[in-house]
Amino acid sequence: MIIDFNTSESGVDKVYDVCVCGSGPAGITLALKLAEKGKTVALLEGGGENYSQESQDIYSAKSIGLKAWVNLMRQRFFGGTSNHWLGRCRPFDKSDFEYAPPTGVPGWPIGIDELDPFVDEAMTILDLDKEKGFTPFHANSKDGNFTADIGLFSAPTRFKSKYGKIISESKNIELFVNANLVDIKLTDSENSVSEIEIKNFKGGSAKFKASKYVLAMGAVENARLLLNSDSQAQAGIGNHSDYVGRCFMEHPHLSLGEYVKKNNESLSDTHYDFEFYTSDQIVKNEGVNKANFTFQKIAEITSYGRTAKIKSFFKALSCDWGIEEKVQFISHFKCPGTGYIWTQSEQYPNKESRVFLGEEKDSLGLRKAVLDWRVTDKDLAAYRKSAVELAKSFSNSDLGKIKLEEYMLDESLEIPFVQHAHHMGTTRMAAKPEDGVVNQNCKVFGTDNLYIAGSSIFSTGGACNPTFAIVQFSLRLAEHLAQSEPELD
Amino acid sequence: MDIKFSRRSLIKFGTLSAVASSLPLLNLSNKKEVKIKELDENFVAVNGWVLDKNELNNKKAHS
Repeated sequence: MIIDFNTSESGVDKVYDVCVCGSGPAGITLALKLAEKGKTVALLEGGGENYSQESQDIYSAKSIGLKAWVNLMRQRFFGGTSNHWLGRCRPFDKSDFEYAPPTGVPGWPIGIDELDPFVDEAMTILDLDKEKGFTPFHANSKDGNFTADIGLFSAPTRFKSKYGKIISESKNIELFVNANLVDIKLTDSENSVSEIEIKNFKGGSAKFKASKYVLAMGAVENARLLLNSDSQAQAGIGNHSDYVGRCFMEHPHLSLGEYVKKNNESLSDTHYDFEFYTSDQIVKNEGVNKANFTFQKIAEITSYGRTAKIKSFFKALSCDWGIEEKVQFISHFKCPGTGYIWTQSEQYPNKESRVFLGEEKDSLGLRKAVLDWRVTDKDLAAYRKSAVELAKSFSNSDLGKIKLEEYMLDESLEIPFVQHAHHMGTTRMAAKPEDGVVNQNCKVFGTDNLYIAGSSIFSTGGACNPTFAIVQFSLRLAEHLAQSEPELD
Repeated sequence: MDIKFSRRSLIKFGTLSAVASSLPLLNLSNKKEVKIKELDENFVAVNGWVLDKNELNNKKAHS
């Protein structure tokens, strides 16, 4: 059933098994799985069934660190950000769960074996080609430092379109739209949630009760709501260790430079020439972070004279000129239609990169978020190191040559970042309350029936697009919520 | 002029503008700064192009 909370306040007298706040891929996956297991679910979406500026404005946030467009990157209506995602999927690697970031905060407290059982179902949910599977696009670099990437593209799955009818006909799910979470009330002992307060856009409000509550609203909003819920826990719920909102991570998008291929054939069957990924070997031996490197073909690839130019380039390198002649030739070399390389890089979690509350309030009376996205010197050093290593591997593998941007070689220059719209880490998972916000089961430390879904729980972000792992984690959380009684720390 | 990678002109992140201006192939009306960075014992970046030093030293005939 779908209920517009702007015109109805029904449902408030019921007690659900689970209240799920947020109807993006995390929330919908969770609700469907819980319903399948016989649990009653209130699925609360702050926006409407369709886009509205009124709802989208709730996401507006000031950005004071690296440039980020917080509200443009997320969609605030039924289906969430699946309404505009591009569909690239890649699972985490085993090694993502096995390393300690060099920034003083711990990595994952679980292994990839916790996610592996949900690969197949996540692929079904996201309409991924199981026959093709996550297989390498092409050969690895000869030195083994860079593996071929293994991503798959979803259609992309629009969760509202695909699952809207199933949800509306479900006996166990009640979807409330225009139902904005504005407060989380704790019991007197402050160790569990007693109810949550929901507001519509017409001034109405109601309380919802459930045995368990899940926040699945995205990494900025999950943190913002925990911090705004400060009437009992003054620093915000789950924030006893000052981690709520901290360790905000993105996947910085860097323009690395250009490349010329030695041979014309493309190794990949996509519109890219190559997609490499840092291997475990180079991450371990060279201290670089995970990164995907996309070798993008460009439209002018057929420019007149290009082939001859490239041939002359490689010929010059192999000829019997002296060094000085070669240096001059290379320094003057301009190739029409050269491809370019961009990356999706891992960002190490660091506490200074954070979401916190500003003084400005949204139309519902909640303090708006301020995003201070920062990377560390260790990140910058790793990006430069991996760029150089990639260029060396490309050359050693006899694939061609790479020309790096000046800022990748000169530490005194600023690397221009662009965000990838992957928000992660603000309610990070940890083994102990002093290192994070949620435990291994995604339960908020110190609050026995409050859970988090989505990429805000990521302890580290790897370099893979997060949606696949978000769905895996939601399936895992559904298993846990369906089986377990309220748990104590 | 015989340029070795050990020469001062190839010090880390130095420029070869002085050297380049005297090269026979250089059009003097089109002086271009050449930035060279030695990356390790095997590789050097010439105006950003990451090249194998052995390749630059290669005396092979045209293939």
